[in-house]
Amino acid sequence: MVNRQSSVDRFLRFFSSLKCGLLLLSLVGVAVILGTLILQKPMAQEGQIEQIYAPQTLRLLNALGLFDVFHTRWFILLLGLLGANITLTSIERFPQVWRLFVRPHLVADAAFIRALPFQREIALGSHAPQEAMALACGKLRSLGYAPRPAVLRQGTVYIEKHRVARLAPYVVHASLLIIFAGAIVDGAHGYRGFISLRPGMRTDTVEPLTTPGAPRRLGFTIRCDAAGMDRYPDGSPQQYWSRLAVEENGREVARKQIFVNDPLTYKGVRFFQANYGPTGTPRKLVMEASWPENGVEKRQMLTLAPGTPVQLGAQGDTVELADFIPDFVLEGNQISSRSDEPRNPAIRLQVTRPGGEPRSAWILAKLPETHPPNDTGVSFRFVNAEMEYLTGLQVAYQPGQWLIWAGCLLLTGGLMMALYLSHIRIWGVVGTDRKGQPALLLGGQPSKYRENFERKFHALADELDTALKNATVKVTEAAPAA
Amino acid sequence: MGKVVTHTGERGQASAARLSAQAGWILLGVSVVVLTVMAISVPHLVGGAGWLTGEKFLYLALIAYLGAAALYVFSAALRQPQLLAGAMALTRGGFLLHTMAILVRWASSGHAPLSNIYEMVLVFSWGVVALHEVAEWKFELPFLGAITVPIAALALVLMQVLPGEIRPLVPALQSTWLQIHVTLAMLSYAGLTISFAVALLYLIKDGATTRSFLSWSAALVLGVYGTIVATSVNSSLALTMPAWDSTAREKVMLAPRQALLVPIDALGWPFVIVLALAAATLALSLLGTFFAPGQRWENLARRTFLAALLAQALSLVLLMLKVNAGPYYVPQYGQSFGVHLAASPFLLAGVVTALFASLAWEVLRWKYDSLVAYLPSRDTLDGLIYRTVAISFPLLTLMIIAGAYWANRTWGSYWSWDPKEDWALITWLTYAGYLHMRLTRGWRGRRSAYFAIIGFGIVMFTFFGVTYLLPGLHAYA
Repeated sequence: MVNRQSSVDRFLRFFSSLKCGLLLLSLVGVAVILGTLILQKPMAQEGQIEQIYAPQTLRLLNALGLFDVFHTRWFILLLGLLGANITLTSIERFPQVWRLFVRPHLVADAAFIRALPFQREIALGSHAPQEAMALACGKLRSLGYAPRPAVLRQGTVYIEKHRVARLAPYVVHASLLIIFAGAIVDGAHGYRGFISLRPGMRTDTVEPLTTPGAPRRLGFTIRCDAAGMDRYPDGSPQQYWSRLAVEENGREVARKQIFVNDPLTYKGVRFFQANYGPTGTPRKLVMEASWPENGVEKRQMLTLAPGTPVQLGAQGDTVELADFIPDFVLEGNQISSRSDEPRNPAIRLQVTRPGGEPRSAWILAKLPETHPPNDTGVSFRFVNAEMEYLTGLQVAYQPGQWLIWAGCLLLTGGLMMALYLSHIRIWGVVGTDRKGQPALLLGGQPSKYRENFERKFHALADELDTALKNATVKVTEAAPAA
Repeated sequence: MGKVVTHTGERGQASAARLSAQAGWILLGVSVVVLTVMAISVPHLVGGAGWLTGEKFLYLALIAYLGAAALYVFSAALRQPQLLAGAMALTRGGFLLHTMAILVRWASSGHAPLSNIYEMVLVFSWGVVALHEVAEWKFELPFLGAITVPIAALALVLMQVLPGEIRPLVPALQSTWLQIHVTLAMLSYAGLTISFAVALLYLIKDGATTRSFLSWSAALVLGVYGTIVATSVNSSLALTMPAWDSTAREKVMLAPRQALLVPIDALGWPFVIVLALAAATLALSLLGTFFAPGQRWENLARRTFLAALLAQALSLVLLMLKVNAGPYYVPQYGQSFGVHLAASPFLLAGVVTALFASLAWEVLRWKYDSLVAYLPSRDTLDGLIYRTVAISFPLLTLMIIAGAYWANRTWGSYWSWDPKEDWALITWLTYAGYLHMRLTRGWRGRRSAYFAIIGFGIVMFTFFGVTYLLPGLHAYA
């Protein structure tokens, strides 16, 4: 029982040690390196992982979770352990530092000063102890170091700077924990998703970003009024935008034109402009039809849209848009589209006579002289096409992000304090120097940057020395009684 | 500004000094030849670089830096304080031109030059020189320039082959946060570069032996040329380089990730010779260290290394000349293709780094003691390593925070575990570990210096390695 107690104790002691913290830090580092060297599932295209790794390697890496390092349980456990270690390390040392912070050692004697790392003895010369103390205090005050009056009454000159630096490591560690907490809140309650909208459409559901995941209800409706893209003179994209509105119970409650870098936020849910582009189908297609009727050439302009047949002529014939290939290319004998932009549209129209079978006509908009197959008896000429555009919105709900930004602010401040501020303390009492003469014994201690402190300490001592030597004028102001 | 120690030595030392001074002048000659060839070839390579894009200013700055780097190194070797003053003046002149290049590019593109790898290297190298000036002025480090200025020059050489056209900003990059993010990144990288330079000075001061320096330099040259020979020299000893389409300003690709390779006959030879000489140097030096201690092997190793240095200079000169002499006929395609160093930035960077390292060693070898006397005390240097890290670390932290904030405003996600983010985190963890060791365990001296050197390696990998080897969301940089 006793033995077990002590081994638990030993484990806890190790777990709350800096050594363990650095070990965990390096383990996290190694895991992150592995995560960048091995292709990660969220970044890979379909089938890419299977293509790169041999089957055995694949099985092994998969079993270790190395294809999605940053979301595996062991990685999250590692981060959790690091958080726990930071907490324990801080808790263990904090009380001691806090005591020093709120109740510093103020009153000194000669023995205490002789034990400090930096010391000087300043001869009092002709000055009485009280007078010397008053002179020294005046000099220190003029140099920007105000001795504590309460301590001075007890016979010690005590000056200090940047006591807050003692707390800096705890500020830094606490801020890291706050950042962790924000990430946990987001992991548990936040979500990310995607919405595709055509101008004029509305939706209240968000598609999941990753394949396993269910669509999610927003609780309100988002409507897209317009979307578009601005170009630079050279044709490259300058800005994408969407005009969005939020509706709740059929009433519009918010409205904003969003840009890349400038989202719409409603009830903590943010909508980001993610992409914008043609869907590959036309919203409106204008064609000119011509056919011979009773020896006369007839012409008609047709405005077609997908799924809605249009009357052709007076005989009850109908025309329907059957296929629209925006960027036509023939690969072997396979028809395909290189892109969704209407660079080289190929159109198939179906003409149906009353009571007859539908017949097809192919039209190559940019290459009318190629005479593609047409058994409808009607010739068609492409006039123009208005493409349908889709705006892609990234949706994010991250209730923990304010914790993260607060943690980041605190982290920056804490780091500055920890790295740039040194808690310096200087004590002075009147005693006797090594030759037995009365002297002001000065001792100091910094929390870091000893070289800097040493310089500053001796400069200060020199100032006091000259001040005491040069002060011939009687000091009228009496020092506070000891 | 710098304290320069002039020796008036005794008679015995005087003749040795004269000998080493002669050797120094020979080296100075070699580097002047190399610099001249580079100075002639680089504008030819760039061709059509204009004043308006700032490239001409940058090119002049590069020449100033190369000259300053040579002067810094040789001022120590030749005990010529005037050279040091010249080096400082040239660095400052180069810095002004460099600043002009940035301002001109900024004015003509209409946005801060922080949007692609070319512009980042532009600002990074500027940051290195700026912080070098601060360090030189504040800490009286006369020899710092021998390490920082060559790094800046190397960055500028690399830039000559990076795609430097001014392009309008894509929508995601139109953000003040991006500019803050990149500025902080470049400043912190530059700061960590200074800590690396100080760490090297510390190792010199601390008396790392010249023999181990020789082994390290030979190993570096061996690594660089081994990689080149293994990847680019074919069985008939021709150097193969990617074909360059000069109108499109890009490599001719056969398939994604597979460039068309042009063999340049007989150019493989100098690279193989350097490889052999470096291997011989390393072998002799290790032999002298571990198996047969004695002056003999060491002297032999030094001579082979000097030969390797001359062979390297020859390789670089031949490479430059041959690349400009194209196009070359490729039998498989029955057609001639031109080549360009822009297609192989790593080849150029490797060759120039190895040459600088070798030159630096030769200088060290002759003037080791006077160099050591130049430098501030070990404690001062040790403190400076810490101080440069202590300044750069909060910048690094702020850089990561600004990047997260920008990503959050652009994509709605502050952290996506993309390779660049991951490596920024690794860099951060590394220096966080260093600060813990330093502040709570009192790590000092050599361990601290080695840490700064390793940390710098990680920084450079985050900067360049991730961009070229591990692409992800940071596609623009």
